[in-house]
Amino acid sequence: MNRTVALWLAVGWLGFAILPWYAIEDGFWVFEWLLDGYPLDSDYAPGVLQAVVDDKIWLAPISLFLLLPLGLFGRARNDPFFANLLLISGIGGLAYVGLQGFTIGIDGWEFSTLEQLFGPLGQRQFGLGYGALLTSAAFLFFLTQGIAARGAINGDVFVVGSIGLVIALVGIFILFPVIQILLSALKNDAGLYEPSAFVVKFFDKKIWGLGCLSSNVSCGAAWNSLFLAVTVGAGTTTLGLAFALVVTRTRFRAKKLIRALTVLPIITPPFVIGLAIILLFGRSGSVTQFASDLLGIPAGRWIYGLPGIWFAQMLAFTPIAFLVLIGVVEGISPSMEEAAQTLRADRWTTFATISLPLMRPGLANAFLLGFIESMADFGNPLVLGGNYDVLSTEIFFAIVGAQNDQGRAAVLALVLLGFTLSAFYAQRRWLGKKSYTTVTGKGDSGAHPYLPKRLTWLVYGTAVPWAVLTVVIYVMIVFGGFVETWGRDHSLTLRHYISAFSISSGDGGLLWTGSAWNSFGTTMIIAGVSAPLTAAIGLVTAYLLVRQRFAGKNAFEFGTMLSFAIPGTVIGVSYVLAFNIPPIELTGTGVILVICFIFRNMPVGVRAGIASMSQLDKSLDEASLTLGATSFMTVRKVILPLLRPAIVAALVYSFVRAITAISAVIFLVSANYDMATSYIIGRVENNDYGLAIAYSSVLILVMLAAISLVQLAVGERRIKRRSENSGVKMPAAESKTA
Amino acid sequence: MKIASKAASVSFDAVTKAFGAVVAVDQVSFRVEAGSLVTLLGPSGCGKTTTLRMIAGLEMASNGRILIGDQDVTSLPATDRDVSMVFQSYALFPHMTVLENVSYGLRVSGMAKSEVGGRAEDGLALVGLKGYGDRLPSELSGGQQQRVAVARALVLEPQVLLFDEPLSNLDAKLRRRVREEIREIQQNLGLTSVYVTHDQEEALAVSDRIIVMNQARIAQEGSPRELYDEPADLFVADFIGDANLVDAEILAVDGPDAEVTIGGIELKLPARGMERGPARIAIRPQAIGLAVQDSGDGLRGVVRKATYLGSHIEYSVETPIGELFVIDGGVVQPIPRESDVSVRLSHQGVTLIRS
Ligand SMILES: Nc1ncnc2c1ncn2[C@@H]1O[C@H](COP(=O)(O)OP(=O)(O)O)[C@@H](O)[C@H]1O
Ligand SMILES: [Mg+2]
Repeated sequence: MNRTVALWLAVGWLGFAILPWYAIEDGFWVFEWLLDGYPLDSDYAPGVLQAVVDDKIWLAPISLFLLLPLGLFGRARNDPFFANLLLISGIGGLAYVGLQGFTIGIDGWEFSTLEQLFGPLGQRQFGLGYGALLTSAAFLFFLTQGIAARGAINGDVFVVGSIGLVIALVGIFILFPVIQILLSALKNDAGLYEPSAFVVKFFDKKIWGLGCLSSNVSCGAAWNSLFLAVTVGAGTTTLGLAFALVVTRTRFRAKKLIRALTVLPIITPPFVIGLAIILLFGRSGSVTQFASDLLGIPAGRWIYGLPGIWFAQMLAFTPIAFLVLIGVVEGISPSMEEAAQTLRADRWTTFATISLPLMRPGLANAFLLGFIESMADFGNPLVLGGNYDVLSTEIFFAIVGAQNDQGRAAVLALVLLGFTLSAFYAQRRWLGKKSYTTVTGKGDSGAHPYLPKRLTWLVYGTAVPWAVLTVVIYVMIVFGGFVETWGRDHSLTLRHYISAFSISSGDGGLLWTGSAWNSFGTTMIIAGVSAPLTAAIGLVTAYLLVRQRFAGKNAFEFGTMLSFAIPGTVIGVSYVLAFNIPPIELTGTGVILVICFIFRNMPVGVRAGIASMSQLDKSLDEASLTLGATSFMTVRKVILPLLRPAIVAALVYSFVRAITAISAVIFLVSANYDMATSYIIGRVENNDYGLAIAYSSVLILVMLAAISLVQLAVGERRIKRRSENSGVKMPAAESKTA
Repeated sequence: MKIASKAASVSFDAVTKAFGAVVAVDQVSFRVEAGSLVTLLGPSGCGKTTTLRMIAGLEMASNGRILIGDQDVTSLPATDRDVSMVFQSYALFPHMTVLENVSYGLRVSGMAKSEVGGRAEDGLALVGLKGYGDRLPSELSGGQQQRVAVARALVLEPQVLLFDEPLSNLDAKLRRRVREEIREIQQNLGLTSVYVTHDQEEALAVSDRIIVMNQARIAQEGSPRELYDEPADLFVADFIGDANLVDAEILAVDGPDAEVTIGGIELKLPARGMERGPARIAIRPQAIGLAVQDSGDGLRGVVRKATYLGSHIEYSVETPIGELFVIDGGVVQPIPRESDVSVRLSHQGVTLIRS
């Protein structure tokens, strides 16, 4: 027996014998139960007492698996018995907890065959709580320690444990919900498995109909989504390329401004762009009224539907394409282009035969990202969709609409998932192998040649109006919050800000009387809690991917990046399907929001971690190991301090994304836990644009402030670190070229 | 406090390491005696670093046994081995001061705080960096960084100290000085050290024994002198100290001596257990004397190239037995190109080699 096993054994018993086994209705962070009948009340009793006092006899065998590790006393770690006992306890415990959780639910037996076999059950059980959580964690780490003791990864307990933890979390919170969707899609309306129900729902005209080609009916949502995504992908890629070329290969003056504009969409909830477009082009929009007053063009609703969504998504996602392409365009080694020029190619030929082909993988990547983002976007179609049905909103209406058809939602989610996963797969398969950049690391000097003249004008002609439009949109957003009623009464007012964010002093001190405070506070707390957790799991995963070799690493990486390709609406539906019933009952809590954000934003943390960790020389870790530090200490004392900028980046990004997210959130909010974005969407649906815009501007300001603060802090640190590093880094770089 | 040594021997017993299909180290066996410095020498990619990393526990052997002292460490991870390593890139932690770097190993292995500082200072003093403790690694020159890396490894009083091309990031002058310092510390403390390099001169200078590796196997093991004077094969002869490899024929073997003919000249060389028949000989460039005067019969040649290098001149001489590379100390009277010369072989530096 060693200290780690003893620690987890203690944790396991703490969970089984002391903490409440089932979830507490009042919430994860509420501890009233301590004074309210604990430990004997059957709602709050720990597992042991549930089994003994409350006749939940099926919990008793868990103690057996928790007793097993006691047999390790006096055994050495390299004794095969040690590993095997831990494996038995870990696998057995996990399997048993899972099995009893899935077979016994709120109504007793979950499966009728079991009821016939064992007779009806007097007791029932609810979602697992603190106790079950700790006990399962203990079993998980028994299992990983068993694997480590058998010699995996040099017997490194910390690394095997981390891998086990990440796999377990990804399994529970990404794979399990997605599987639930699959299962729901196979059920009929009565909740019984019936594959033909799937076929009927899948081949619905509303999904695959092609009526729009021949007659005046609308096409199916799948075709609509596909058409939209393809055109948005193509559009954002073209525009993104234009911007990237302007910044790198022309004499354009305001390059800084363009880069600054690209930050905006990151801190803008996507549907806010849609709102601004309504303010411009809607029936009472400025441009519409201007056109009807001056030119006599009648105000119409043309913006609602494909044109509006396309337009809004183009504005929202072009910066993503730009960020991908600027890396690629800058990454092309100038010496390639210079070489072409010394070989007598003129500027146009150089661009056409060298630069453009080298950008091709980047273009494909930008297209696929635009495609995935467009498919997944929920806010803009909801605000601007009109009669143009797309998959992401159809899923939402299937769940919340009058029909409340979970099966249909599941089928739609599967179709959507099919599209995005195919794109994601194509991106990884096809682009993963190609080298994006030609940076050699050998101090490439030289500058990129300027574009040929005519191309320069073409690029200006595309990029500049677009930049102007973006600026106008953001001006509208700021301005829109200060006018009485857009389109009708343009007198300035603070009414919307007051109704959202007023504070008055009453008897008990300050009263948060504004209607937005509730959701604003929840949003800040949930985003604040989920950000550090996201960063932590992302960085741990990055560490495993960059620094460790283990079997199944490719699958592991695919699993952790998978949630990037799962649209928010799909995650939302799947969480509702998976976590509404025991054994994991989370809907209606704040925890489910936190978890949702962690796993939605995890790929961001992983990528930030991978990027900066691959720049740390691996010999730093190895030096620490040979000096006697364990891998846990190495991570804590050497890697983490050196990764501070990446940590901060991951923190900020996940914080911001938790604030702007809407698509998954809208399924998961509840009366107690309403989020800012879902509140705003609610206002929009009530045509309360003023308040919605005012609230959005406040959110943007808050995030801008957060980002600038952090950038200030990190920026300074980075400069300091660069000088610290220079002397150490250089020899490493030299040795690689030597 | 003083830095002492707990030197232990290292043994490899038929150790193999494969990365997928690539066999980086193939059935290697050797023993490093406690307190000696052994160099792993060989061309890039021959498996030196992999061998060293297996001693450290940074790679696990695919096959075979590794012993440190009497303990079998084959499956022991790096953290649990009493081995320190000086990395090629030094791997100094950039966010810690010099003193923090040197005391890192002591701290993580749980030594009392009061003791850590003193021991680390001792370590710094040993490498001549007293008073540099508060600097960051980036505020030191390359040579000083190198010595911090050595101090950091030394203070743990490891059973074995490993060096992976520790001098490759230093300029030529500094390289000579630092290698002498390393050797001095190693001898004073009686440390067991394994030293990796691809530079034969460095290996000859610092080692008690040298293990020459080639293509994942050991080509020859011996003292510097043995390797230079009696290379086991063509590879070793050529890799250590350059050699002209010439076809020859053993005419007769008489006890320890062999009669050998090369292109018409006859020589008496140590037989090294070889039999009659075709063979090769390795001729060190310094073992060839050139003379412009006509000295009758013997080997003759034409100087094709002459390169003046300050302390000596390198010639390339065309002869009936092939092109010979010659190093000649006589810089005062260089031989002009295209001269006819007579070629003499001294007894030192001419060795029979199995072909
Ligand atoms: N981690 C690794 N994965 C795959 N191949 C490796 C790895 N490390 C070393 N090799 C291969 O093993 C061989 C020996 O490498 P190495 O020990 O670094 O050589 P040396 O240090 O003598 O230059 C090389 O062919 C190298 O490509
Ligand atoms: Mg090497």
